Amino acid sequence: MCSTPERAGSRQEGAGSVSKELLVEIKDLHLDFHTFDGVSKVLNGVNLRMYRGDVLGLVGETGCGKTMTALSIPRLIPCPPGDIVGGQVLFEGEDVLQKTGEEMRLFRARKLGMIFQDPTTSLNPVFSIGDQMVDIIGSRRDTSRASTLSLLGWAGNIIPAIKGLRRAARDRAIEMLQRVGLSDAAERIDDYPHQFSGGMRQRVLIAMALSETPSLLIADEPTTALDVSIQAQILRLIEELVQELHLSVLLITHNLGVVAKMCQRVAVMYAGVVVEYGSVMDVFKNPQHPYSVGLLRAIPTYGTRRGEIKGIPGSVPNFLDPPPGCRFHPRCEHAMPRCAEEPPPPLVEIAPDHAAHCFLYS
Amino acid sequence: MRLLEVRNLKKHFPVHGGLFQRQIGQIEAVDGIDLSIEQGQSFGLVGESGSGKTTAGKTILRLIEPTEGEILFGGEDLCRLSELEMRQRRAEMQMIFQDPYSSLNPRMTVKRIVGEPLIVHKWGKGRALDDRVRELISLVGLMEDHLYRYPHEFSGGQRQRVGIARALALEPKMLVLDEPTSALDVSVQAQVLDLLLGLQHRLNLTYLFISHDLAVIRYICDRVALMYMGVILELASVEDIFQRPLHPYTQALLSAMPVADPEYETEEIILKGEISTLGGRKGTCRFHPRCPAPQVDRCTTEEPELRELSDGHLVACHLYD
Repeated sequence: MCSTPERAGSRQEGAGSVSKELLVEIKDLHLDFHTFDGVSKVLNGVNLRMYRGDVLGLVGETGCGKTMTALSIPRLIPCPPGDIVGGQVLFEGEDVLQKTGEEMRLFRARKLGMIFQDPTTSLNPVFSIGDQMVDIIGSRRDTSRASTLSLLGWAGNIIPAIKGLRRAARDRAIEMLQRVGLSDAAERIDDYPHQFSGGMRQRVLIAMALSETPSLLIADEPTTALDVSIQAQILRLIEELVQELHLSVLLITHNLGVVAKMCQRVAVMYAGVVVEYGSVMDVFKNPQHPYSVGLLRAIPTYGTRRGEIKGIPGSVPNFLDPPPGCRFHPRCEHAMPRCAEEPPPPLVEIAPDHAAHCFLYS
Repeated sequence: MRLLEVRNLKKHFPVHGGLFQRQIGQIEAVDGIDLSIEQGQSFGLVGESGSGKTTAGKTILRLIEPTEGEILFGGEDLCRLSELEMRQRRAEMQMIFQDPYSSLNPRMTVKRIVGEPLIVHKWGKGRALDDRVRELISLVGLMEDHLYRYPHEFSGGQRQRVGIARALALEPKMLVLDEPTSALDVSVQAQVLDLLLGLQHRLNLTYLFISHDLAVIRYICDRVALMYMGVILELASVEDIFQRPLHPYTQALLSAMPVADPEYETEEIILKGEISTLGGRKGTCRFHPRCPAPQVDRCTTEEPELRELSDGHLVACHLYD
């Protein structure tokens, strides 16, 4: 039942040796939402680095900006009301925010895959999963014909090139579905989403996202809506696929257990800022930012006795009128007068590859 | 003292279909469960979605009429009471719901929400009612100036506190808590769990705690029952369940529970399929299509009974016959 030191060691080594090539770098990203009540400062200077081959966990409570940070990479934030007011999102060294619409389309098609929390709402209920997958795979394979493919519908089959593309896409879809665990994929590919269970739908989404082996998989709470035993199946599947396809994964979750199990590095977010960043070992065993400390103290784990967990007093601030200075200071037990006056310096390195966003370490 | 005893509780829902909407089948949401809860204890009901744990909780309060079985509350069979008697008895057993966003009336102020059960049960009025509401509000850690606010002005954790205050208004002996923290964030979940533990200690409350989160159950409960497709597969004290799980399903669930400790490693048992696709039939072991343990012939021909193996540790599995 207890940990084996070799395995724990190998995880650290793996994180150190493989992952030195920078894949995504988010620099001082600011995102505002214009609402009827005023400007909501949703992201307030997010700094994040992701290395190729890494599984990076992005944790934090509801409304802390995890999903918005992730959506800024494929630039899927609805603008308006959203408005990226500052910062850079570098993907393989190129600034995503400067790309044109057409460049973005190609970038999303070739480099990104995404799975979402609720597998029920991310599939279209009126199309069979086969149709949905063929559309996606076809438009990724041959980006020039993409528009014709979906525009003409089945009539497109008159054109031999499109018919060939469709057939190839369908074969690929069946192959992917089999890979993610639908053994009878060939029979079930023409079923509709409601004919699948929750876990199966999530598998279909994974198959869709990975059909053309993206460089980066963004998984936004992929198991939150699922039961423990299904969650274990899906996490195992993602783990296997990461190995097989050499994926990099940005895993958004609020479940620290999932992070401990899946990730090499973790970024803790609070109120639109990354407050701590480091390897999973460092952050879980030796958390530095008062918020990470509080978060880890708040969850019951194996062997927690009664009265041993402690919530963080207060609640997440209102983004329309966030507290001045450090956004965590009203809930922080180490708050100093300075914390209310100026924002803390961006991520200060405490140890190699372990940084915190706090005055305590400057 | 034994406060609640449930014997062979069943709830079957009819399924209608066909041209004239005749009954074409039934769903056995709860199919014969037995459990008992001591005064002042917390009893946990765990299971995956669709295992019947919420239906069991609601049926025990007779919010849904049971199909069969006995519910002895303080020695009295609730199923034999008339609607009127039952309403009076419900003052002693209250429920807290999962979603604090939909379980509070958005048009009522907190004062009215918390005061409503007192008015319904003619507890008092005027100054006395006001004082009682204030007392309840401070009991759950809210402020007096929260009294005149509406639910939308509160965060999830505060709303759940309002729900708890409302449930405590009539000084119940027992609370049925249906996933009270699963809609909350971890830092707030810890606050609410601590509040519940504190209240139990102060008011000598009995909890029936329904959850799918094993870590929360372990933190708060004394005894646990594991449900699967309407039946209990294992029932034991928290320590026993977590230290020596006997049923293959319990073992698999515990091994699959993600633990927030990167050094923690287990032999992970991954179950195949899901309840909805690989559910067993009545008359067989309901878990056998997904069971990772070596199977005996009886798994497919006979339904295992919940039997006591050691002191207070009950399990329904043919492996232990």
